[in-house]
Amino acid sequence: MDQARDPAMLARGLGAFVPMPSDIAAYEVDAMAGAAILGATPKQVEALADAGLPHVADTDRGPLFDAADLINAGWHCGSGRTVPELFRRYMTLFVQEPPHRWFATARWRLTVGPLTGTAAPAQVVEPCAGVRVVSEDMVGDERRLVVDVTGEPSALTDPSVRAVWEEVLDGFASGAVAFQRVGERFHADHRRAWALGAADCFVTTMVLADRLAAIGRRLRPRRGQLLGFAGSVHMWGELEVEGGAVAVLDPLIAHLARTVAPPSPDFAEVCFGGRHNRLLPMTVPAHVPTSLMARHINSHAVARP
Amino acid sequence: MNEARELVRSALDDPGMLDPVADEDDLSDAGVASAELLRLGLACEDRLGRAITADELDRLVSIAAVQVLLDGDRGPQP
Repeated sequence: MDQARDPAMLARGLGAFVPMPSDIAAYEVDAMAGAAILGATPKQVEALADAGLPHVADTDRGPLFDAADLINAGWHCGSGRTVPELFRRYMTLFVQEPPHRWFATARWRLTVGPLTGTAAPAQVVEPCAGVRVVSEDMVGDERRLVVDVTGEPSALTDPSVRAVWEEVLDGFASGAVAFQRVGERFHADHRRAWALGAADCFVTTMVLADRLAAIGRRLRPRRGQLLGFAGSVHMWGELEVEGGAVAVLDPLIAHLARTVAPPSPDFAEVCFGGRHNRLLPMTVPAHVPTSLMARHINSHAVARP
Repeated sequence: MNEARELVRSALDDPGMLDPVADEDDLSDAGVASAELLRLGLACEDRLGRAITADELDRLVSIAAVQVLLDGDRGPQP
């Protein structure tokens, strides 16, 4: 049977991820909306209920699912054609590019819609090491920026930080934790998510921060944008190092670089203290939900090295 | 350019929204959603019969850019 029409297509993803715990899940997405999110058919989404994906039954709308669970089902179903699978594959393509493309100055166009109130915030990008705002304009309720981002290889060699780093990445390598979509309510309890085996960039960065704090090192979580065609809201950490400088630690992308096919161990090393030219720290207030950022921020390349 | 326009249209939830969009217009600015752009990437791969690269993805910002990608794989025209 044509996989795209196989009613069981999405159900093949079950068992490969941790569903949202029922106490914090929001079962509100019906089959029609789920199909639109995933690029699947409503029948394929409905089949997830019979296959055991947690849901509530609504007499009018049919089974209602948690949005993160649906995305994870699509992500792990193995069809190669759902929107979450495309997102994951396209998001990590750049780690397989030649190293000079990770560091040379790249120019990006960024569009930021209303995140607070009715228009884009007054400031969304704070100039910092490797980031230069070239232009910034308001068009309607959107802020449109052109930014230059320059990367830098890692110079971090601290063995105690390295040990903690490898310990966190081993959570993935050992199979104890899986990279998956983690609902925003789960972010509020990153230790629980990690203990249950569910991690995204937020959870992984916060767990790394906890473990570095235990050895007396401070990791400042930073939220911003992973720039590009399949750009997304992203979180990583900034480690204070000697001389007041900071070293970027991006454990989730390091994990993906080690496991993408073919793997890119060199890029994984960039994530341990270096910066690449797709990472844009943003100054969006902490209370702005990630989902809102994901909906209202887009980026694409203007010029790449 | 019709080939690229039809390919972009095939990736949209509402194909009619492409009617007022010019070939050089930025698709994101025109209201094409990120999920639709991802499906456009897949549609291009299906048409080309191969996976596309990060660099090619980064260039898929307009109908004209899609046509350049499609033409590029065909080599020089006679």
